[in-house]
Amino acid sequence: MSDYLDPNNEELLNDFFEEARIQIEQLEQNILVLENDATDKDCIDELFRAAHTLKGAAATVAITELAELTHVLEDVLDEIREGHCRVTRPVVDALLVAVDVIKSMVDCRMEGSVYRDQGVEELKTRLHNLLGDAEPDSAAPASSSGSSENKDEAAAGDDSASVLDEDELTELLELLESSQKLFQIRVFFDESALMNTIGGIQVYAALKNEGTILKTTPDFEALNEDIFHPEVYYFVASQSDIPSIRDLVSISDVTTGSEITELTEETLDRLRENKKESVTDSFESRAAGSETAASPVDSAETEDNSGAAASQKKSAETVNDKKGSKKQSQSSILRVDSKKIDSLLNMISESVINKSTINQVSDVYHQLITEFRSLNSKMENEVSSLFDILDDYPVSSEEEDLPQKVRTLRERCVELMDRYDHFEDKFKKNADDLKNSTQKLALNTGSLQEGIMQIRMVPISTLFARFPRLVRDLSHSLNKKVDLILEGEDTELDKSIVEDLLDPLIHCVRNSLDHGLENAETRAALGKPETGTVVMKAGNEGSMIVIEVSDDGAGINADKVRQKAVEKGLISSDAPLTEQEVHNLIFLPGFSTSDTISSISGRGVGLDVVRTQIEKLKGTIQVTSRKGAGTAFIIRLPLTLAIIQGLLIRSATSKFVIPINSVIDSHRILKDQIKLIEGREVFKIRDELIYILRLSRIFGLPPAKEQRVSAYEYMVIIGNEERKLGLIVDSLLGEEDVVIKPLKDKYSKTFGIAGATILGDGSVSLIIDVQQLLERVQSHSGESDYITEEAVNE
Amino acid sequence: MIAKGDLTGINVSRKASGLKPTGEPIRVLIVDDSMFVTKQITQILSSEGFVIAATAADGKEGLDKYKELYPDIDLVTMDITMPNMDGVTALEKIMEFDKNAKVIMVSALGKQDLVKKSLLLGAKNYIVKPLDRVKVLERISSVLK
Repeated sequence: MSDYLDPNNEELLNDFFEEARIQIEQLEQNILVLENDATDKDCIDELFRAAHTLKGAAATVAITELAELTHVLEDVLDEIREGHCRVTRPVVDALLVAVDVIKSMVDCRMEGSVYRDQGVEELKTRLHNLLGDAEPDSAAPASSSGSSENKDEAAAGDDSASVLDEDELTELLELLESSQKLFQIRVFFDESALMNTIGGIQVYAALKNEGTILKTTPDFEALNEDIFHPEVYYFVASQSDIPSIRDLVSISDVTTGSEITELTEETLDRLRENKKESVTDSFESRAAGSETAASPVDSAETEDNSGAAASQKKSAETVNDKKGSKKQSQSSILRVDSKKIDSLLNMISESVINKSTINQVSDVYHQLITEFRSLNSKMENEVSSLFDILDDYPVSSEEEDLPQKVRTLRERCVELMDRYDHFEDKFKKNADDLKNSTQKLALNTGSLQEGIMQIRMVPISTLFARFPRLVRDLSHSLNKKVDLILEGEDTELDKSIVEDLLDPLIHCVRNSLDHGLENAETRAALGKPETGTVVMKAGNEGSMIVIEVSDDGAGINADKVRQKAVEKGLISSDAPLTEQEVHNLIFLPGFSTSDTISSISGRGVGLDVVRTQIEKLKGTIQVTSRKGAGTAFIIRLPLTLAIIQGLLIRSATSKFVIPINSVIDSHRILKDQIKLIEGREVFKIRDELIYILRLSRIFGLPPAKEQRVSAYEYMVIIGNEERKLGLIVDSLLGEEDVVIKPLKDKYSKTFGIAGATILGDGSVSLIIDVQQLLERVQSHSGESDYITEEAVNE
Repeated sequence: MIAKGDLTGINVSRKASGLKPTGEPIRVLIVDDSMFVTKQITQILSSEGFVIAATAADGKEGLDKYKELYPDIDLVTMDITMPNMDGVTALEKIMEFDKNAKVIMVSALGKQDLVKKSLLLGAKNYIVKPLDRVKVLERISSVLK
């Protein structure tokens, strides 16, 4: 088979990888469901479908190792489906191992290699053994064709005219041209055919050449959707005859059979007869709600029948919908290279900046108008005073007696007074138009931006979906009983964040299972339920996403943590720390309280790494814990990394942006409120001492020219609840949405700068890296640097 | 080479299915940007007596060759995804040029929409990659009947 494949078809391969990812996810999730409820029929069907799809897809791209494995997997699932194989723990384990191998196979292929492991044969044997006596050869096509046969039989009993009601038939018959006959063609389709959703249209296309297709059931739109219809009715006006039509609709590998009936006036009569009978049979079953009675039949009958027909149709539709829903939801997803979206976002960001520029221009126009108005009225005043001077001319004389020159002057004055009025109106109108358009533009760019951001948003379920398996495996290896509860899976966040969030979350969950939850015996002894609970919860909080990983385990043992921290020299033994501060020690580098390093939490990566990763995402992580009751990690992240709300500040002659989510507070403080402690500037707010940094010193900025002499300083407090510092700036300019532009390589390591942005007026402003400033304040070496710098500056 | 189809016996009854009733060979134009697929179709069809009159690597070339060789082309196999001009467009243009053209689409799995569009535009049938000898011949003969 592989000979037939075009191995260079990268698009096909990419499609395959995407498909494989979806199906693997399906497999994994459903196996876990199956483990808990072996009788879940939908779940088994879903599993079978996923394996089947994966097998087909793998064969298409000639990934034979995968096709072979999924084939065996499909067999096992089929046995389970048929009830020949019980879902026991070994079965679930084997299935999960198979899924793992499938993942590895796909991963290898993505990297351009082929997965070769002797374990595969072993696994296949293991799966085969599960089959027991059952025939290993796939029962899938048989069962599917079997089901379509059943449909055929069931359908054969139907009255051939029953899909049309009387009105519809009358209407169709009226459409006939002379010499044309009306055919009802019922075609059955082969579900096992490749791309079986095409059949309806293929027959449609074939019939189109033979006559006029008046109607199809399901309708054309439905045929055009990517849904398999086991049978379709076509109503065709044609001069052809039944044998040639039958020939036309017999398409090997597509259709499995057809029933063709010619519909005539007699059919219509018969239909009416039947209805009459059925009405006399069941008088009480009359439906309310009248339809137009186009026929001479009494209206009650029409009501009854059209009602019945409609309800019948409706139930048929619901069945179809149910069948199609899964496929439909998949087919309506458009895959787009994320780079394309990023570049769109970039462009729209530029537009946002342009918009601000235009906004400012528009404001300038309005200022100009005001200016112009005052100039104009000044001029008018002056002209009018000139006019008055002219008026002083001997009043006695009659108008005509005035010298010509004076008359001309007076006329010119009047003219001058009105000279710019017309211009002013026009100018004003245009400036207003500009303002209106700018406002509209602002709205549009706003929604565009939001729309594109929305495209980048993915539900966190894509991330959470990895955890049931993880928790299952972990709990088995730790021999603890754990329930995982996922909440708020619909919460959306930026795709780029999702990708970098997996590792930190895995770490938190591992931590909960390994260090947090007690084993069943301990829990029982403590009077807790034997099964521990881990909750992963996501939700929105303003423009932030909050993700919480909590457990009902032992909680953090503050004494133990403190002791460890002292041992490791992280804190002095008499450090006055609150319980919360002690809890936060677990985020320090090199901290690990587990008595033995386990393979689960102790992979040489501590929670400090988690913190770093989260902070890289411009987020924060907190831990709260109650001894004996549990621990919760709370992660807060911005919705997106590309656009942030910033506080615009000025220091010396430069403008800077501080991400607003790092701004805690801002104060105007008296200069003499700043104290020196151990050579460092500090400020006391309530009982808290805050270290102070001066932006102008950090960046070595020259002082502003107009040296303000003021007793006050502006201080912005930045950081988070645990770590904060005061930043002395020259003035606060306001809030603005800014688009983060990364700095070029050469500058990317510049201390204290996270990126740059272009402001509305077109000027470039640097974005403060709050995290780095916080680190500098905390690290002792940084302190000395700072002092030296200060010394140099002074 | 023994292909699957030979074993099923389906082809035995229609041995030389690549010949017209008059005994002349049926002339095929293969339009496909993949050399691989072109080679495979050639192999399948030649073994049945078809003559590959020409091959084209994209829709534009396919359309040009069809016009050039018309009316000496009895059948076109048309890939869907191709550079320069895709198969659906090429099909449309060929149908405009010759409404009796017999074009059979060659599609990868998952291109249902495009196949449907092609069928409505006048394609006579379609075959799905990876190609299966029996199915290819089955579908081609259904077009020629």
